[in-house]
Amino acid sequence: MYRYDEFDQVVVKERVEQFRGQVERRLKGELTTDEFRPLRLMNGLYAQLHAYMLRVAIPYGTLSTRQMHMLAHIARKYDRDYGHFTTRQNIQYNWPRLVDVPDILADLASVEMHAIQTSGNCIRNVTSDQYAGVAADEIVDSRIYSEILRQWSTFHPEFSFLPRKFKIAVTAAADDRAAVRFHDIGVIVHKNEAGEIGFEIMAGGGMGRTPAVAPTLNKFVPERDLLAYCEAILRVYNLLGRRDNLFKARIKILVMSTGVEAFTKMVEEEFALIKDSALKLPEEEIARIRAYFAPPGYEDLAPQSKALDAHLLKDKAFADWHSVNAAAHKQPGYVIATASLKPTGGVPGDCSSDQMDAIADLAKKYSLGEVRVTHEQNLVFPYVRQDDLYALWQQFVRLGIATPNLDLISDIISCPGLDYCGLATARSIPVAQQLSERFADLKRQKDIGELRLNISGCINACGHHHAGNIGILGVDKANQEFYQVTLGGHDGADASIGEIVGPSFPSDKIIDAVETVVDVYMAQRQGKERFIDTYRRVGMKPFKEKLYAAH
Amino acid sequence: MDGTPKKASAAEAAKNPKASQQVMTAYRLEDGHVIYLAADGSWSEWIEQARIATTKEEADALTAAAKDATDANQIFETYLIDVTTDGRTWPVTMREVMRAQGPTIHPQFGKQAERGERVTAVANAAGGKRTERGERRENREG
Repeated sequence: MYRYDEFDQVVVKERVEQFRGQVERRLKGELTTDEFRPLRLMNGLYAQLHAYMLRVAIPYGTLSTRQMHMLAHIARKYDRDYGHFTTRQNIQYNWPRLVDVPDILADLASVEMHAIQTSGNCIRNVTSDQYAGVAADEIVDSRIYSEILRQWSTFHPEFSFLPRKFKIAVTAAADDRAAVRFHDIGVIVHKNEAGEIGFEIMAGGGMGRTPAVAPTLNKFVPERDLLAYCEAILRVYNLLGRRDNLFKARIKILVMSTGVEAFTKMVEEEFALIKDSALKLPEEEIARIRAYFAPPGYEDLAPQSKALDAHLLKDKAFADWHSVNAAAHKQPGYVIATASLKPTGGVPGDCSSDQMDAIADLAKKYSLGEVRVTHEQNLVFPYVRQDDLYALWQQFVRLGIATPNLDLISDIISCPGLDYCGLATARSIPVAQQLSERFADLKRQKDIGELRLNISGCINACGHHHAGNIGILGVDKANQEFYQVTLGGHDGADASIGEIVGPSFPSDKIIDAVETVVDVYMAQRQGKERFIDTYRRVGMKPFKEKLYAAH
Repeated sequence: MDGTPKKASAAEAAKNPKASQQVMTAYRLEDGHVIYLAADGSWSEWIEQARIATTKEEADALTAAAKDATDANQIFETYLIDVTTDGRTWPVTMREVMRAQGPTIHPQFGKQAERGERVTAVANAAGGKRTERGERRENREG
């Protein structure tokens, strides 16, 4: 994985000391609330519903053992013994004290981590495919380009005060696991017939109050021009994006209002001006970054482990887990394993200090010292020998992270909602908990099959409800929690936005409503259709009829 | 500042429970915890101790005290919230109940843990105020 060079380390350490000084001045009264606010936000420190909240960046979700141990240490020493992995592959701490934050940042810096650009109207943490580098279906390790984008966007002086926040996601796999089409810029790595790397670049996707699937601006931007093309997009946006209306400030609104063609034309014109500038990526630089992501020291193994096969035959619980939470690896004899942070009745994405430490130890022993955070709020062990998978799974069971529900109905993405968030209008986690209990039967979940269920506690859509096959949006009606249901959202290569099914449901009816939706799907399903396939075939009508039959 | 509510206002409020009753809330600078302006003029973690304003003048006095504390760099993000006083001082909106209590999903954290009781008033919170927090605060710190 990427290691800080001398410049990275110096910059991050200096930043910690700057913030330490700023906190001291704030506590002494030398900085006012308004003066301090942008300074703390630039270091990922939010003021949330109950306390401060610190959001720590995890570039493209990749963590070393050492870093995971540090995240556990921070939760234990400065917070309340847990952290919350987010839908942007980051981690949040919900209870840090302002006076401790400089020490927390210093601890993070000691393991090459920080909280820079996890807030504010800048380019945020670049996200990517959690299977990057190991997926059987990828062209190349997308983290190479995620890292190049991260370095370019970090402290980019021209883009530190954009009209609004800006999120970039990269994938190089056929199966888009990074929801790239729901980002301000989405990048898909392709190879042309000549075997050259290039990028399909999309812009103007997003969730929030105005959800949008990003249209493609250019189908094949040459590898050397990645930064110039992204810079061109950012320049057009920075100049023309609306700063007068908060709700219309994201790039998606600009793309919608100018039209894709006109927007693309402006980008291409800017690109033509700057593509031969210092932004052109030299082959040596790409090679230098690529070297950080060189395949690890794999062992020469048989493609299929006999030990694994034997365990699969003997232990049904293991076989059930394996059929759902293990994925094909590009290296013979290896497997990708996903630890679920969605136990039945649990809080999606929460992880205790002890769990984090244990996960770090397991990663060291069984996954070449690396873990990945997914945007679905789970943890991936990317380099597991098939021979070791049974032993690893037994440890997952012990830690309560072996729920075999990856991409099933209880693998719920949920924002923190009104339990934590100052923006929320309703709670989301309790709904996720109740739903995971209602659908706790794993046999039933498997029978239902792939179904993405996402919950947001307000219109800002941090819980990705627009991209959920079933989406739930919490709203406040006369001080009561109500939940709006959307159907047909999808975040894969054929991304779509969910449609509102009808009037919202009160909190004591929403669980039944979801079950009704599932029942309709099961009744309508043909062959091996997934929920999204059935929905696209039959449309909203049968769901709507059943949901509102009694009304 | 006078630390006790005016008797006339209290009596008036008792006669007319629907009259506006407000308390001042904020966050403590050092640890970011939720606090309320108390009857004795200090800032308390407990809403039960908050000074209640029932008239515009009293609310203005709370606002002035909050400004002083903000200027003295003890607190931040001050605002008035509606409360009921039926048995205890308690917020009207779900959001404020959450702040006064702690996350419902983690009863071991937040004020509910220190109170030793979990108040399940969220679903029962009285009133009819539409908060639309997500709308108004979208750019705050999202």
